[in-house]
Amino acid sequence: MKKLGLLFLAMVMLCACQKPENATVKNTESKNTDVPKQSQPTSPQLDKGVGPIKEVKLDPIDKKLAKTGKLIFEGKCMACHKLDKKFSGPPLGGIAGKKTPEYIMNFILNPEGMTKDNLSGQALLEQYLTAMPNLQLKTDDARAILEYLRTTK
Amino acid sequence: MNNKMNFVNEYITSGLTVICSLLITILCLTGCSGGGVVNKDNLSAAEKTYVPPGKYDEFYAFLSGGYSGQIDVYGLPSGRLFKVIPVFSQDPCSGYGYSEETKPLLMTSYGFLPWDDLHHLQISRSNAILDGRWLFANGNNTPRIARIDLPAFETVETIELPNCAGNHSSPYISANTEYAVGGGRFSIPVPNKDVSINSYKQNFKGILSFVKIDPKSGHMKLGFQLLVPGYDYDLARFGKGPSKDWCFFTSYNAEQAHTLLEVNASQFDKDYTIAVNWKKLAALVDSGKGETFNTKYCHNILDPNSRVASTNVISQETVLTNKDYAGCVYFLPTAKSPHGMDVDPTGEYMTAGGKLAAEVTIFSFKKMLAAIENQAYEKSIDNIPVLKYSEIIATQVAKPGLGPLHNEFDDSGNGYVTNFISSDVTKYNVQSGEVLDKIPVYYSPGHLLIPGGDTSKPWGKYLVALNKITKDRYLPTGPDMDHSAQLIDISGAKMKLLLDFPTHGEPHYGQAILASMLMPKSVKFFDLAKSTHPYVTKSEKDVKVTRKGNEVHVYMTEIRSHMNPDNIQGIKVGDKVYFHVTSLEQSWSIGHGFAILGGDIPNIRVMSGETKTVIWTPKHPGIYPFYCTDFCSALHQEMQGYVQVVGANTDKVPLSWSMGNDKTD
Repeated sequence: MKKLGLLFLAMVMLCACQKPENATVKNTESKNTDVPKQSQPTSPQLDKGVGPIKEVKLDPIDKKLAKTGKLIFEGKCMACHKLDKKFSGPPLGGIAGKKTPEYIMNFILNPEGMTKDNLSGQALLEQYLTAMPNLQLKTDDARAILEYLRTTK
Repeated sequence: MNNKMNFVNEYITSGLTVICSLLITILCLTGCSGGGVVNKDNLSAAEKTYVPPGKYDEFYAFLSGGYSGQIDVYGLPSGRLFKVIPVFSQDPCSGYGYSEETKPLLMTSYGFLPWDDLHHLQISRSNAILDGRWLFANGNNTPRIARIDLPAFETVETIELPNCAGNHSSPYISANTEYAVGGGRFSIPVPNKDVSINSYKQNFKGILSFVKIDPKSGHMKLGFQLLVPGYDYDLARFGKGPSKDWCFFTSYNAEQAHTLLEVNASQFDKDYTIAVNWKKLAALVDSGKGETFNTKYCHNILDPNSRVASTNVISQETVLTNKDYAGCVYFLPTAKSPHGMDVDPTGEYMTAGGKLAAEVTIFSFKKMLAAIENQAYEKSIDNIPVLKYSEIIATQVAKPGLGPLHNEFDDSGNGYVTNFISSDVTKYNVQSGEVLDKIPVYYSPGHLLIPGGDTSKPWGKYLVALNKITKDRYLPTGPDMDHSAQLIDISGAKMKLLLDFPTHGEPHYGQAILASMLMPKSVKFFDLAKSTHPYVTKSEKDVKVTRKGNEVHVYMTEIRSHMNPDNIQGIKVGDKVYFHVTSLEQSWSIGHGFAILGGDIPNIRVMSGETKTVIWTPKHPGIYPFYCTDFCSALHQEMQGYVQVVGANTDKVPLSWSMGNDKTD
């Protein structure tokens, strides 16, 4: 049966093209592929998610930052997230007590990666079925939103 | 025993394998795929044009759509269609020309004109090398030039050319994108008036327009126009290198016939190419020469921050007549009824397709300058000197084929000419005029393109023949068949046909550029934070509906997967309702749309971060559902809402709006 390899080889010889010279332009959009994929469930207290945020040190609540965060939240997030009820996405009141700060900021900054490569993110996508859009927020914006969410219940 | 059996098994299996392999080989070589006959040559052509899934083409090719008024963007070598860019035509697919933001781009002195015949394309260039900033296109019927922004692949500016009809020799641009030109294939009275058609010779004039292009913004402005004898100005090219200060226009109908041109405009053995020193003319205009004409034309431009277009009506312009332009304008006698005018990559040779003469005339720029210097004139027409043909000719391509139309060049000193009547493309040496190769195309090519083939730096790898007649090349689709383009490999001594692909509308010309020059710059979304649209809604908390008299403005947002507001009550019959729809998204390739029951405007589509406006005037009381037309998410089908329309004189339903309010009466 090993000789069936010959058949395969013949098909390959006939069908495979040489590496086309014309495909010199590289796909630059598939950058999420090098993010390590999560295979084991992680407890919400430990799950930092996937994305640019590796470590966030929390101090007592910075009220000014939380106020900035509230404005951004109202402008950018509230179209889909309410504090107290399900909407296009999950309710977010008190979320900072349930999820790690890194997880929350990574979800804001890397929604594509979080719903693809994080088990908890995948589960949320399966539940809500609308992929969270990337609103191109900056790290500082995400940090301010986190601060605001820490003040919510 | 076991070993023996294994041996036999293996023997049989390998024998079977060889037979199967041979069968597959034979099948593939004799035609097993899709009904076509596949042979070795075709397999090699398939390899050269196959772009695997997820990989990219080497070139972007922009092909004009002719009477579609659009530009089609293809990949080379695959021939895949990527996008249709609406330019002079309303587009129900994108809402271009229907949305309030884009309608002004179609304004002219004749009013709102939602169609034109889009013929020729030019990618912007620096030092006669493509730089890929903008793409220019001409409107042939009601003379216009459009500018397409290449990072966004959209039309951002149009300018009308006054005093002109049939703007065919356009929009050809100069080596550093300083000017685009226009020229009429119809001469008409200038300014236009209701003279007798029989008075053609006295009253009809040609107008050549020079449109100045701002080097930073790309904004166009009518620099000046040139009043010339009443011929039919057909095609144009600027020089490059040594000839960069000149522009050349072919013309036919030196006979000045005004009826049955088929016969009457083909009487003379020679017509004329008009050579214009545009640099000197621009300096004349700057020094105050020329006549100010009162006229009326529209200049329309899309503001990049608000993404709203506006129209500026202009009422004056400068026209240079033969009193002003002595020493700057000359006629070059050219073989019978020429068509295309093209300048080789060195800028020394100008080629004119003879059309009715079965020859390509190749002029020498050096000789032309010497003839001007020596005043080697055979006569003058309207004070424009006609240079002696024998003094300016470099060589001729004798018998390239029948009906030679257009020339394009590679980077090895060769020219390629399309022959409409004999239906082939001929390769020749530009210096000697010697015919080197010929390949049949299917059928009757008009223009051709080589990536960069009209610049100083062609990529001499592919040639695309833009054929006019399709007949049996594809599965038949009734009397009207899309045209057929053919991709030809020109990298070797012999041209090889690689691929047929259908082209929509009628591509009159095209431009192709290395994909890597445009791809990194392609816009992914519009920055909502920077939008200055007067009716933008940047956050759902700003959603509102306002009324002033019978004018109602709905400030609506869209994001996956809802529209806000999605319940609007108290609109009245006779109201003029403006839906200003903003996409709150900031994602690449995610679009939303808007359409409403009974809406007399096609859907509009809204890309991430932009605002688009449609007007709706409800005619009857009732409930009018609206929805997002662009399949944006799994819950796209839920992305919908309702408008309640009440009678014109009903006051019991106040204007109200909401989203997510699920209380019932």
